[in-house]
This record gives sequence, structure tokens and C-alpha cells, in this order.
Amino acid sequence: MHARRLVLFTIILIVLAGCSGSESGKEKPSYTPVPDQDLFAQIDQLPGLVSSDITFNDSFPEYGYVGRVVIDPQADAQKTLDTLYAILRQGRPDAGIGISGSQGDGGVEFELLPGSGVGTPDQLEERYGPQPGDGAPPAD
Amino acid sequence: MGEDLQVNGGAGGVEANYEDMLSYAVVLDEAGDSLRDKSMKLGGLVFDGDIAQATVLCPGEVAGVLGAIEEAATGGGGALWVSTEVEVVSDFLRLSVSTLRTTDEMLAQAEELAWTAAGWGAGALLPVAAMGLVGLAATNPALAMLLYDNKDELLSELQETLYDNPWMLEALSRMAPGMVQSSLFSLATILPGGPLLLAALSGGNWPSGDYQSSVAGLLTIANRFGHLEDIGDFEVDKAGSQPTTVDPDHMVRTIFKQQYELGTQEGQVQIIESGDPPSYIVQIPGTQDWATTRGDNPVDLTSNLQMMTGRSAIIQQLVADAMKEAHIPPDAPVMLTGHSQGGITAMSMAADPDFRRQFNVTSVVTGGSPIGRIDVPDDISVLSLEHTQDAVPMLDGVDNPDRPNWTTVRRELSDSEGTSDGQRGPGAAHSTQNYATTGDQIDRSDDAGLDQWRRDNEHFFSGNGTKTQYQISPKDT
Repeated sequence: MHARRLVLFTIILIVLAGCSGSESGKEKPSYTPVPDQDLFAQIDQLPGLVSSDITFNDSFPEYGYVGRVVIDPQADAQKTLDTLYAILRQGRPDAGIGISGSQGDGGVEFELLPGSGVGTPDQLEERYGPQPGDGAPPAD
Repeated sequence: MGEDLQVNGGAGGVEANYEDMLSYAVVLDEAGDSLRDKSMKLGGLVFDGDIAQATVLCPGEVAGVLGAIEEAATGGGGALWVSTEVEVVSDFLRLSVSTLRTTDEMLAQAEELAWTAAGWGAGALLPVAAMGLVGLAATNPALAMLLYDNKDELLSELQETLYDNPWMLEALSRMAPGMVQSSLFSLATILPGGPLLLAALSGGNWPSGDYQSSVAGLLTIANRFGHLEDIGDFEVDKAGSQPTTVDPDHMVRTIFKQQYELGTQEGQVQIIESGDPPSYIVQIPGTQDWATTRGDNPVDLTSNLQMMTGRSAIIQQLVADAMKEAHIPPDAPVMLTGHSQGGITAMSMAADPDFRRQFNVTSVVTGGSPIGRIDVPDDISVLSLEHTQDAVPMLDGVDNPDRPNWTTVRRELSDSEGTSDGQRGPGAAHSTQNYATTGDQIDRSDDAGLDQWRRDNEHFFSGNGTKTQYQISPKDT
């Protein structure tokens, strides 16, 4: 009888632990993130962008905005991507950003990020400052 | 530049040094043979007819010359003596390499045995400890509530502790095969005949100290209950195509930036074609579906476990189908790349002789993949990236082999690199973006082995290329 109660208690504990999220152990963001749909709507209005396919990816182990954009052949590709990254910085805290671009018949690498330039939170903070920023790239 | 990288294997690895030693042994052996041959010819002069005639004319002088010849040929310090010395040194080098290899192998086996034993020991105690903890909590509701109320903080602390102390991850992963079996066998003792039943359910794979049998046992048990079955009919269709840059100055960074993007596309394989004649980079994503039953996407947990047992998985054939769909010529150079499970798939394909008969695989690049037990031929170049705090590449329970064709690069991440969504932990260490950063350091490293890897693989990165995605989806019934 005693053993049965122990097993029952174990099951309850496991179920309760499994049902609850693991939110309170994390650091809370110090700002209110702009919802993804609003960010994507801003990007759709961005001058120089022909089309975009961006999503937020939080499937293990990734945590960041990712996608592809097509840039108008007449537009300044680096400037367009810089603004796009600044807009996405207003989104979720600590999110990485990895957007690949194409323009005409060629691919475009975003070259304004420091370090390895892959769009990790550290590199983004170095270029755009602390989150969320104002959606505009630095004036350099 | 790249000072944080720890490079093992490859052109500068231990095995490469052993092979250099064996090459020197061959050179010395040949020199010894040649010297002995010369000493014999020199010694043969004593019986030369012309010299015999000269002896009649000037016996004193010729005797002196013959003495000198004999001394040079067979005397102490002469050619025969030196040739023997050289051949002894050559044999000593061979013996040293053989002894070192045997010692390395025995140490590795002893280490694996020790970890397995530790796992069995820890696993036997786990159910007892868990029941003890639950018993304590049941008799002390205040403690139970305290634990429950703080469980998120405890989990968070646990993740940070594991991130800050990667040796714990290493120890746990090496003990895991024994620990899982031992825990289940301990629990099975509750039932009469339970351990025998468990052994039968595992298809005879358990109990075992062997890694692949341990995983095979787990898979067999799951299969009996309809889980982790590598089943389903799938097809592969072209999904899209875009121009892309494959910059020779950013080879490894490019691979993992592309892997990051590919990972967001459910069930897609990507092929980058560049150069004239063309070379092909075939990219395979990491695990996308963590369910224990097969759904619409075979890039899933089942494929992981299937390939970790050393068996072939459906996903391998589907990647090959995408390569056929891309019309990759049989003699065109192919690089297979993958993050996490993608790396396991890439290595499993490169290890498959039937696949290699269809395509000319010359290179494999993996990031965060447990591939140390997968053997590929010596003529395939392998570059493996691992982060010190990433548990996933540790799941094979062994270090990657140190071989001239296989370079493993490890990097310890910073605290900020290991933080995702406000939580520092091993999960973030597995991210593709962090592997792209490591790739960038590899691109800039002046390590001789990495420089050799770049020279061997630069034809895959000729500036501009085209990337094409292939969608894997269930066949219409």
C-alpha cells in the first residue's frame, strides 16, 4: 500500500513538472518585443525589397529570425539589409538573425556585421546597440 | 586568429605523425638495402679478375687497397655495418609506431570499459535514489512544495552548471549506454522474471557493454511498442532555386550559414552547384521532428537512433534521390555537409560503398554531430566541428579518431554565445549560428592542418553558385 502511494506520488510529480513550462528560471526581457507579424509587415514595406520570406525559428537548438529576401537590382543591398536587421532587432530578446539575400543573378552577403558576421546576438548588439533599438541602422 | 580552436587529427594529427614515422622507416629500410647491396659489390672486388692480375704485378699496393676495400665494405663502421644499423633503426621506428598504436587502442578500450562500468553502477543507484527522494518528499510535504515551487530555477541552475562544467556532460554521455540499461534492469527486478523479460524485449541486445548494441536494444524495445520505426514511403521533388555566393575566403562559415537557413525548411535537402566543371555541396539538416513516431518528415528522432546503431536509414536514400534529381554526374566532386543529425546522415552515406559507387564523395563537413564511430575511407576528407559545451557530439561516447584525413576542431564558447532566450545552457551551444562563427574562425586560422583542408576543398567554393532545395514529402497514396 505504502509502495503504491509512493509510485502514485512520483507520477503526479512528474506530470506536474512536465505540464509546467520552464519560464521563471530565465532572465526576463527588459523591454516589450514588437510582435513578429508587425516586424514582418514593416519589412514588407521596406524600399528596395522585392520579396521576403522570413520566419522566427525556435526549434531546438536555434533561436532567431531566418529567411531569404530578394533585393531590387537598383537598390543598395547592404543598406537594405542593414535596415532589415535593425527592424528585426526590435523583436524577441537574444534572437540571432540570419537573412540571405539575392539581387539579380547573384547572391548577397550582409557585410556590415562585426566579427564573423553570422548574426549572433553579440554581433548584433555591437552593431545596433542594446535591444530593442528604434528600427533604424546606425548612421555610419 | 583562430587561437581559441583546438585542432586534432588531419595533416598535423598524431596518426599523421605515425604515418610520417612509417614513411621514414620505409626510406631508411630502402637506404639500408641499397647500402648492403653496395657493400656486397664492394666486397666482391676482392675476387675481381683484374685485381687478381694487379696483385701479381704489385702485390704490396694491391694488398693495401684490398684491405681498405674490405674495411669499407664489411669492417666496423663500413657499409655493411651502417646498413645493418639503418635497418635496425627502421625496424625500431616500425615497432615504436605499432606499440604506440596498440597502446592508444588499449587505453581507449580501457577508458570505454571504465565509463561503461561507471554507467552500470550509477544506473543501478538511480531508481533507488529517485524513490528515496520521492519518499522523502512524500513524508515531508513542505519540502515537496519547496522543490516544486523552485523547479524552474533548479532546472535553470542545472543547465548553467552543465554549461559551465562540460566535463559533466562528457561523463554523463559516456556513462549513458550503461546507465540506461542498468536503471531499466534495476526497475525490472520489481517484476518476477523482469530482467529476463527486458533482455528478451531488447532482442537479445541487452545487457551489453557495447555502444551500438545498447542503442539497438533501446530501438528494439521502442519498435515493439510502435515507436521509433524507420518506415514510410517518401518522394523528393525540386522546391526552389536561388543564386548564392560560395566565397573561397569564407568556406566553413558559408557552409553553416546555409545550414542555419536550411534548418528552418521542414524536410528539405539543399544542393549548391558551383564552378566549371561543377562541384556540388549537398547539405542535410539536423533533427526537425522529435516525436517518437514517424510523421511526414523523416528528418526525425527515429533516423537519429537508426543511424547511431550503424544501420542504414530511409533518409540516406532520400538524400541520394535528391542528388539524382539534381543530375549530379557520377564523377563530379561531392561534399556532404550536415549539422547534428545531418552530419550523422552525411557520414553514414560516405561510409556506404553502394552510395560511393553512384557518387564521387570527396569531402564531408559536420557540425555538432556524434560521428566518432562511423568509419569512412581514407580518401574522403572529413572536417568535424564540435563545441566544448555541446552535448550532442558527445552522444557517441568516443572521441573522433585521429586520422590524417579526419580533422576535428573544438572550440569553447563564451557565456553570451551559450545564452539563448535568457537561459545559458548546452542547448545554445548546439546552435548552427554558433557553428557558423566557429566556421569563420576556421576560415581565418593559420593552423597547418586547416590550411591543407582549405587547399583540398577550395574547388567547392568558386565565388558564385546556385543553391537548389529538394522537398522530402510522403508519397501520395
